[in-house]
Amino acid sequence: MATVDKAIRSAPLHSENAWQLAWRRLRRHRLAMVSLVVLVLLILMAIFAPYIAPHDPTAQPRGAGLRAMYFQAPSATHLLGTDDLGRDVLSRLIYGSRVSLLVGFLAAFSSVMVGTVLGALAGYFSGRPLRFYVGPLAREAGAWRGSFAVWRVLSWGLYYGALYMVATVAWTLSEDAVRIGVAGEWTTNNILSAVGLVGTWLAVAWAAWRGVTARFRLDVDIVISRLIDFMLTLPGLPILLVLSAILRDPRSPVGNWMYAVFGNAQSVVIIVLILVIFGWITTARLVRGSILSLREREFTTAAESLGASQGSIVFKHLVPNAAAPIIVEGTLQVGIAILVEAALSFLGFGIQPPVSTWGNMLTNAQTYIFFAPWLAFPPGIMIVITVLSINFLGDGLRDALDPHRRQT
Amino acid sequence: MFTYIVRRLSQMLPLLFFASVAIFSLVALQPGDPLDALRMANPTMTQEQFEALRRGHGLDQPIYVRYFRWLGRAVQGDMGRSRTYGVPAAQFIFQERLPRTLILTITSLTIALLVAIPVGIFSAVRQYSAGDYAVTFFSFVGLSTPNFFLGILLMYLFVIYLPETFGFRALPAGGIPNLMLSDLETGRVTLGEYLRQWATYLVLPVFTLATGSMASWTRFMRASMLEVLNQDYVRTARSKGLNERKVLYKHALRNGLIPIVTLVGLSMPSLFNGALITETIFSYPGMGRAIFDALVNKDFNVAMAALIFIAILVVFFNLVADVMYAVVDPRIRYD
Amino acid sequence: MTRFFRAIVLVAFLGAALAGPQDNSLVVGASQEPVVLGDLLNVLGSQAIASEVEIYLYAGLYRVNLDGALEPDLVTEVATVENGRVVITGTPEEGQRAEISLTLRDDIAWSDGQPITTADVAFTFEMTRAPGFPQTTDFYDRRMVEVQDDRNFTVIVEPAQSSDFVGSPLDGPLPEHIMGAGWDALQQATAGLDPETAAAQFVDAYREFFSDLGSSAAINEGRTVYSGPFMPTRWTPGSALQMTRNPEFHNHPDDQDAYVQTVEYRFITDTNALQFSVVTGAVDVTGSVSITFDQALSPQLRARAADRYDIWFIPSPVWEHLDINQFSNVQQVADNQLDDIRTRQAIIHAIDRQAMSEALFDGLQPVSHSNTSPFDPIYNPDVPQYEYDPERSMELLAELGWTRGGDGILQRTTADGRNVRFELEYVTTAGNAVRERQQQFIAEDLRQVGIDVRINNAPSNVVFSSDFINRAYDGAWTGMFMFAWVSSQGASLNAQTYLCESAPRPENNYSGQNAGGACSPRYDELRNQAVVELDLAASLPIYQEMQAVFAEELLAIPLIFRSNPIVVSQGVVNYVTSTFNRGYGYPPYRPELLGWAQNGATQELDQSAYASQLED
Repeated sequence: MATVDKAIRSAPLHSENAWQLAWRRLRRHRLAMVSLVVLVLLILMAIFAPYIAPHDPTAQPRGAGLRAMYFQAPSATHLLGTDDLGRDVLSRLIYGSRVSLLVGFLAAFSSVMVGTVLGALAGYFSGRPLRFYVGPLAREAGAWRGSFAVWRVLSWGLYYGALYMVATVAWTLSEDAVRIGVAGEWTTNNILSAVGLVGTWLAVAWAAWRGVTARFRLDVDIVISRLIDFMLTLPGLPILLVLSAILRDPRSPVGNWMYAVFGNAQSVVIIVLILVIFGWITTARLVRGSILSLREREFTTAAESLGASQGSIVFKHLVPNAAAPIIVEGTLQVGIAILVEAALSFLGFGIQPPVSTWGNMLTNAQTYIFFAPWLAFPPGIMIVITVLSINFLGDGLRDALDPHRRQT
Repeated sequence: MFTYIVRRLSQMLPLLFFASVAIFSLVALQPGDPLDALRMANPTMTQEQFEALRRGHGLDQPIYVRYFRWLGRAVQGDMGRSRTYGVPAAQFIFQERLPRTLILTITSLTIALLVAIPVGIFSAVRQYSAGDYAVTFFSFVGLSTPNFFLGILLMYLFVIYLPETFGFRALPAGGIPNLMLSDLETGRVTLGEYLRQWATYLVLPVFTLATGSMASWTRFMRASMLEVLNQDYVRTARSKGLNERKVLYKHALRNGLIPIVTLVGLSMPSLFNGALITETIFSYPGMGRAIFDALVNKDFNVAMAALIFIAILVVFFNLVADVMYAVVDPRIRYD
Repeated sequence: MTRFFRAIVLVAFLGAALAGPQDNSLVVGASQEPVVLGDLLNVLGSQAIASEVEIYLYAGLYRVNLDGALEPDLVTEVATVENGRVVITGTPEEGQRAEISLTLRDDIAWSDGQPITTADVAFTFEMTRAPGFPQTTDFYDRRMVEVQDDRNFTVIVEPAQSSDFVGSPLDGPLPEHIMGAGWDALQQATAGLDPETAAAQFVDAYREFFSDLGSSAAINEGRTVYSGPFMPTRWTPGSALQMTRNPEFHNHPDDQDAYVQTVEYRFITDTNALQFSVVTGAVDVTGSVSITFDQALSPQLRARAADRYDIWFIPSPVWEHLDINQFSNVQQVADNQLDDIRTRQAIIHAIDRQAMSEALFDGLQPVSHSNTSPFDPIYNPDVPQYEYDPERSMELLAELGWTRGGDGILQRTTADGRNVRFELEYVTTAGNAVRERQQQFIAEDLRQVGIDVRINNAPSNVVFSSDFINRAYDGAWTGMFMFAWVSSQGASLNAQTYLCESAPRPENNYSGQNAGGACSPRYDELRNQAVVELDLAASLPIYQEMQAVFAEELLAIPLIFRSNPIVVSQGVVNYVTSTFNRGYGYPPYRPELLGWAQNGATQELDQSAYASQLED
């Protein structure tokens, strides 16, 4: 088995040589290299914020003459001036990079992970429906592996649970009308409701009977593709409103749990969640396309014929070969996440003060754009620089990782 | 092709059904009650009266009952009244807000395309020239600048700083001109004046809004032209000695535009979506603000009308983009 | 350099600055747009900006003048016991009955020339009594109207309360000859319905009725008539509302041509954009819903003010405070002992409100010690005051069993043996920069005595939704909630907000405005005595005692009274307001007197008597 794996690993890009080649190409991309250096510096800045920041980012001055300490223009003590509460802008900026970069990388990483898994499943199993449901008394050829046996039992629960739901919903919807009808008042509406109820129940009964011996197969690709279509129709804003309300509500168990686990970081988690809900789609589409073509390649057939498990084929052999577009997509997502965090702050759904992020610093600064314009530039420029570097790096990576693209 | 379109259309209905269920649940699950505003205006309203009102509006019913009631009315074209404005929700969205948003978004789209296509071509043809680097750099800057940062900077620059320093008449800081379409019919303003006034109000928001798409479309145009220019048939055409101009416009451009067509097709729904942040900064009463306000004020009917309308557009333009793709690119076949 | 700069500024704005006086118009900048106008009975909701615009469009029976006193508007004189127009019978214990007799002026007419008569007054009152009418307030439940003839009518209030004599005895009037037919049709259409079971249909019908008369479309079609000095002629939604002088108004100045002929409200919802519009001269004056306090205070706005505009700060009856969750069934409340008065004392002692007022607001938004405005006639200047005293605060906290932990935050062991940190949730409206700034100032002060403040803000519609603010009992918010109450004089006499029974609990289905559940039996007792005492001289000491109880027992933590900034271009005369002008301080006092000095309008009112400016 080991030799087989080795043989398969020698696919392009996955060998040491391919990565070295890519690195060599990337090194020649000057803008990308500069960006990489900038990003590394930014990350170091975030990590070592307490050692770099000249002041405490949340400390407010106290004592006499407070007014003069607010909105100070840049000076030797406060290199970037002070904000509306006399806090050092430079220190806030340095600390702000922590949350902004954390949100950016965490959201990008999670969206790419989710997108890759779903996209890979969709691509690999496209046209190869999976056993989704096998009734308790169905005759099923082939061996039952441990995990599938568990799923099989679980699926009965899901199937009959869903039927039960349909039956109850039908009853609740028509209950009043039918009661009135039974009491003797058979209006058209009541009759229709009753007919609908009886019809639905008959259908449910039939499905329940069929379910005993039925076998259903499901094309994962169709499910995921339709899910993507569906996600595209969903508006982001109400999802944000509902999610942040539910996740922040201390009365709900979810909200309680969120607070217990994440504490003050819960707003970071909420923002990351929102970003992931919409961020996985592009990756999934991308990965699905790559996998669809990769699974027809010889190395896949070889692995299949040698009896490698489907999981290992997908995640050990196919996904690494689709790494290039995934990495590029990941960089783009980081940029998007940082911009969205800023936009959410602008709408009042950002990270809670006094924690500083570039987004909430910029939002706060726009209130004072007229009399303290210097407040807006540091966070604004930091966002631009970071996102710019990430985009340049992504561009460089695209060139470097794409074997078809030649550089002159 | 025909069967493909029919199949896609038949998939649209269930998709829209599920979308409407999801959107309805999201809007309905929001914290707070749609009658909060009414209750706040009437602090002495008793709890019994409030409960009676909730019952009357069916708000005490389970969510799926409310959904089917809403659906029943919606398919008959009745989107209900706006709880905030008192006018029919459809009238508010489609007659008042939508035209205004379209003025803003279509202008931005047009300007973005007018800039992105030629600049992208230029950048691709002169790959690795100084001009190309400049275009690349600026398009990345455009992509990386938060919309509201750009908007506020522009506002400060063109409304305060430049006019004060150089002494010219400032652009309006925000809002929209006091003009109605009927003013043209009644002759209150001439067409020229009408357009001039709108133009002064639109400059800043349009520029703010256009920057992002301009930058990204320039990138795409450049990439897709590069792709095409490296294709064999272009090289063949060149080696045949056809003049460069002809190669470029006759052979390369047609194919290079394909991905842009798809992109523009897919971004069509966002034209109707409005641009929440740009609209907020420039006090522009468009769809973005309307949807946001409707959601936070729990103006249920308005939010549903607008969101469902946009969901329909998304589904429709997805289809259009796919079909267009097949039309412009004969290599693609749907079966 | 500055002179050069100023010269350039002048050149830049010459064009814009002259537009107002040239055609004798006035542009008012507002950051909100009315939804409908003429909804004087608040069927569709109450909106500050609509109330402000309605000052131009409608005359009332009385109006509140710049000194907070009542003046006759459509009636001949204000009814008092002295002039015999108010007759009170009964006793405070058993309930009193007040008969208020009024006479309409004989020179008043709607903008279409129809006289304003008692039919209009009676019609407006009758609307509020209709079945299922949403504005079913206690105010109307206690009233009856009897019409003697075209001019004379009597309002009977039973049982009468002290707050019944500080405003108009009735809202309106609205025009019967325009609205009557539609109203009758509405009544017929809803005749068969039961107000109990069909409440929603009723409300929808009434809402439709008012929005069909006051929406932008209705106003552009001229569907209704007005009684005020101006009438709307054009409303472009999202842009502007234009009003011109109402030729039928009874109280125009004699040489009215010298005064402003059209007033245009410009709606610029973003306050930054609005502020820039002020600077460029695109708006002449700002209203009450306009630029923020911080913006008005900004040196840059002031630097451009010389010779161009004045910035006034009008003390307003808007009271910023912290409601504290005092429902002891909530775990965090019990842990932090927020229901113990000593905790609230420790909190208020820890906050340097004076320094905050000076540092953040240049002292223009004064510290408050109770919930009553210093400009309110019942104000008590001698209530107990909790000064900034962090030592005392820490002593109180130590008394309550708190000790500082290693992280500088207070800790204690509860009766059931748990170790808790003093972690205090602090909620306010996100997006209100002025408020969020105060919040962070206060949070820092509290941190210094060892209270770990956890800020949890959301946009105003979210935090003010009934299942958030009114659910402190369920722990929707567990600590402090910073917001403001606007109190008219009537509201401060009625004093319902902080009654024990106003606390939203499951028993009353979470209704009531006492969001934190504060409860003081002494306060309740005084209040119930005061409201039935109709002689203000007699009730004054009780009201003052109430404020003292409020301040001492800290039913809520008082912070500051707001100031409303308005910007008035130089040359504009009589654009003047005060704390209680027209009830809530909205400008202007008398729109008919608005004018430009350069066009010969005479200045009759002086803003400096009612507001302050920032000294340079």
